[in-house]
Amino acid sequence: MRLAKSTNPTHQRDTIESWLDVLVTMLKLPSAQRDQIRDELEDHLRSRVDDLLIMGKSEPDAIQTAIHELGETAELAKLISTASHTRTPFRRFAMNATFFVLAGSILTASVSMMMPTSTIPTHTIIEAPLEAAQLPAPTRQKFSIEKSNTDRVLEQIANAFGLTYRYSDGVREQGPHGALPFSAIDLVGEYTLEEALDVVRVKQRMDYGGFAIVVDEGKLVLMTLYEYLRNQVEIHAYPTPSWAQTVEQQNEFADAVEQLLGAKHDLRFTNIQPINGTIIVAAPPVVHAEIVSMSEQLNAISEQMQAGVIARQQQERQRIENQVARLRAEYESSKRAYFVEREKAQALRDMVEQLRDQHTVIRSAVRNGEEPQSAEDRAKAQANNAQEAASQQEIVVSESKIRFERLQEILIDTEANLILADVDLTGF
Amino acid sequence: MLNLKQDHSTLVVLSVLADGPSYGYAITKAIASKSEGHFKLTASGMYPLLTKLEKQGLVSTSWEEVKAEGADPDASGRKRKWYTLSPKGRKQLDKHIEAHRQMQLLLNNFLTGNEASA
Repeated sequence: MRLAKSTNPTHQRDTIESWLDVLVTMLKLPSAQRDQIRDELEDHLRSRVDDLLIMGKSEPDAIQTAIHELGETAELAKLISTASHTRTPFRRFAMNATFFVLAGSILTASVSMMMPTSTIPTHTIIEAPLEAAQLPAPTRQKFSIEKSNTDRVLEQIANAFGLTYRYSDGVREQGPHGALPFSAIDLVGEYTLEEALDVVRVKQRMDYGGFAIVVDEGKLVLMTLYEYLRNQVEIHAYPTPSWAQTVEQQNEFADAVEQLLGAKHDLRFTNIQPINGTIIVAAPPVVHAEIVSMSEQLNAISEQMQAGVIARQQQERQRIENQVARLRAEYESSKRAYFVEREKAQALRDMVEQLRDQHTVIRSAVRNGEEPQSAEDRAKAQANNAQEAASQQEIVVSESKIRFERLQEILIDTEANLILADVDLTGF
Repeated sequence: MLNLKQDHSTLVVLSVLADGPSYGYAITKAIASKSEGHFKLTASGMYPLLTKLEKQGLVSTSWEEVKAEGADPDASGRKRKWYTLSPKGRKQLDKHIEAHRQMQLLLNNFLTGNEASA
């Protein structure tokens, strides 16, 4: 057993494991194999985090960098799944042929547009090319079909390339001949499988729409577009923009992405969920391709939202600033009032002292017969009245002190909020 | 920027493993270090490639338990997958090296010809 440097703190475990959970769910492999890949990538991430911590990065930054460096999650999962499968050359050819151009473009383009540019490597990258690069040149077959219907043409294409032609349940329910009426398709000359199918696709789109032709596992399948989209759902994870820190902001961004996609695409099979700093999108490839291609719009949305967030924070700062100014005025006024009342109390205390002294002098004079009893009674009453007024004033002082101290506390808290608002603003 | 093909990735990874058994992250570091930072094999390039090399029998693999420093000795550590160049992999690497040398020689012929005429 060897020793690693990582102390493996809770935060690190949680974030890395959350990412690995997402990746593993995307691996189209048996569970034992998935576990091994998970273990290997976990070791990679934790080793990288150890190195980045030594280089002086903070732990959250180190984790974020390590995960970003691994690349786009869906791409990684797909490439590992592909490399882990053993396929016969023919099956591999057939599988690749069905990916059309879409799948390849999704994989290679990934979602770097939403990644902070600092995380995109600037040096030379050795990329292991996709399997498609190793395939032999596609074979061509001769056709001489003239003015034939879609159904018949597809059957002949399937036969020519050693595939089995079949309808999906959806097409069968509609009745293939009812759904695909006679269409005069010409297919004359030499075609590869994809070229031949494109001829049909073009014609089909022109005349009917709502159908898809798919080649998979040695079969040429005609299916409804609904079935095609449902079967094509793939889960990809996209990083949220760096400014979207809170769950609310991430939800807001995800909603904007969905709104933008909804303007062009049928989103019946699309589910967009922000989870732990990542937007998980379950959608047909066409939607994923759209997400990649609409990077400019997304960037614009990001900028707009970022500006919105900053504006809101500035408004909030202004509100707190006004609150602080108001509180400070109230605080100063209450301070002045408190001091005034305190001085009044002191004056009353002095007066009580003075009247008590006078009362003592008069009492002595009364005992010596120099003053009448009524003079002492008057002096005593005056001292008692002053004492009563002084006690009342002490209550006023106490109340004004409470108000002054309370306002002082509120002012300190509000000023602290102002400092936090400044931190939020400069945090971008 | 050099546009290297999969053959080059294979050559680079096999040559790193020719120095001794290694694991994914250490391989990426070795490549970056040997190329003085000019090459980087991304995870999406390397792990599928390692899987492929394993399937082709060019490398053999083993697992090891790795524990964090100061971790509870009774607690289980994380797992590390080690890759070792197999005899078949060694032959494949030799072939790659030979092909590379031949290509280099051929290119040198052109380059030296140009130098002479310049």
